[in-house]
Amino acid sequence: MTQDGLQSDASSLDVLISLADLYVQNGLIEEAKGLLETAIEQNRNIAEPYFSLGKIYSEEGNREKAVLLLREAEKIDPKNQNIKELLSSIGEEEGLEKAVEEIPLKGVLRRELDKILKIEGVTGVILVDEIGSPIQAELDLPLDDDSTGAIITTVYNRIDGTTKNIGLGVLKVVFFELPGGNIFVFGTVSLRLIVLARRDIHFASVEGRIREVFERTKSILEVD
Amino acid sequence: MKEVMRDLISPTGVLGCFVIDKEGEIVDYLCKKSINETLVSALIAEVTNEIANQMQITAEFSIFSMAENGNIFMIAREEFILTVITAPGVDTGKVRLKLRRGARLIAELL
Repeated sequence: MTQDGLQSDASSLDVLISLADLYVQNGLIEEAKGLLETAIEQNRNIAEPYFSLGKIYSEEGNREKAVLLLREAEKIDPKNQNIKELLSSIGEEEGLEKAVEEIPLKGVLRRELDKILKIEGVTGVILVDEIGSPIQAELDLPLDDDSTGAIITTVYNRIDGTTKNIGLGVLKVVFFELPGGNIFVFGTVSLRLIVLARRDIHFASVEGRIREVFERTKSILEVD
Repeated sequence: MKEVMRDLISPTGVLGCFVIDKEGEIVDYLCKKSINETLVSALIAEVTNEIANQMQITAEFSIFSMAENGNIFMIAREEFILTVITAPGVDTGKVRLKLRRGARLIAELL
C-alpha cells in the first residue's frame, strides 16, 4: 500500500504514529516526517505527533525544529515527563526564533491557502498582519504580493476606522467589486486574509469556504 | 430622488441612505433613525477617494463592508457616491440589488 493510501485510509492518530515509528525503524525518515505532519494537521490539540516529530528532528541534530515542536507538545500536555526530559536533554533556550520561521507552520499555512486558490475563479490569496506585513501569499497573477497586501490592508484599515467612527464597531469583512476583479478581505484584530478573484465570482458562492480557511488560519497562528 | 431613496431604505434593517458628492457634500439623504449625516458623508467621501487613489480606480466601483454592529454598502460613480447603512443581519442580497438599481436611477436624475 502507498503512503497516500495509508494516509487516507488510516485516519486514526494511533495508526499514523505507529506507522511513522515503523518508518523510522526502517530508515524511512522523510516518510515518517510526512506522516507526522499529517497527524499534526489532523490533531492539532494532541501532543503525541508533535513529540514524535520533535524526537525525529532531535535525533537528526536539528535542535531548533525539535525545540519548536516539543514546546508545542508541552503547551498541550504540560505534565508529560517524556516531553520535559527530551526538551531538557537537547536544551530548549537557543535558536527558537529561527525555528519559528520554518516547519511545520509555513507548510500548513500554504496548504490552507491553496484550498482557496483551488476555487474556480480565485486568482490569489494573501495573508498579512494588521499593518500589512506579509505572512504568506499564493498568487496566480503577475503581482507583487507585498505591495498588493499592503495597499489592500491600508484600505481595509481605513474602512475599519470609518465603521468605528459611525458606531458600527469593528470591521469583519469587506467585499470590493472593482473594474478589474473582485477582492474579498476577512479581518480580525491582527490578521487580514485577502482573496483576489475574477469579476464573475460572487461573494456568496465562496464566502463559506474562505471563512472556514480563515478560521483554521487563525487557529494555526493562534491569534484573536 | 426621495422616491428612489424611500425604496432603498424600505427593507427591514436598513437604517439610512445618503447621496454624497466627491467632496463629501450631501446631495440628499433619508434615515429611519438618527444618524449624523455630516459625519457619515465626510467619512464616506474620504474613504472612497482614498480607495480610488490607492487602487488607481477611475471607473465605478462598489464596496460592501460588514462590521460587528452593522454594514455599509456603497457604490462610487463618477458624479456621486450612494451609500446605505444597515443593522447587522439584514438581507444583503436585497440591499445590494436595490443599491445598484438606485445608483442607476439617481445617475439618470442627476
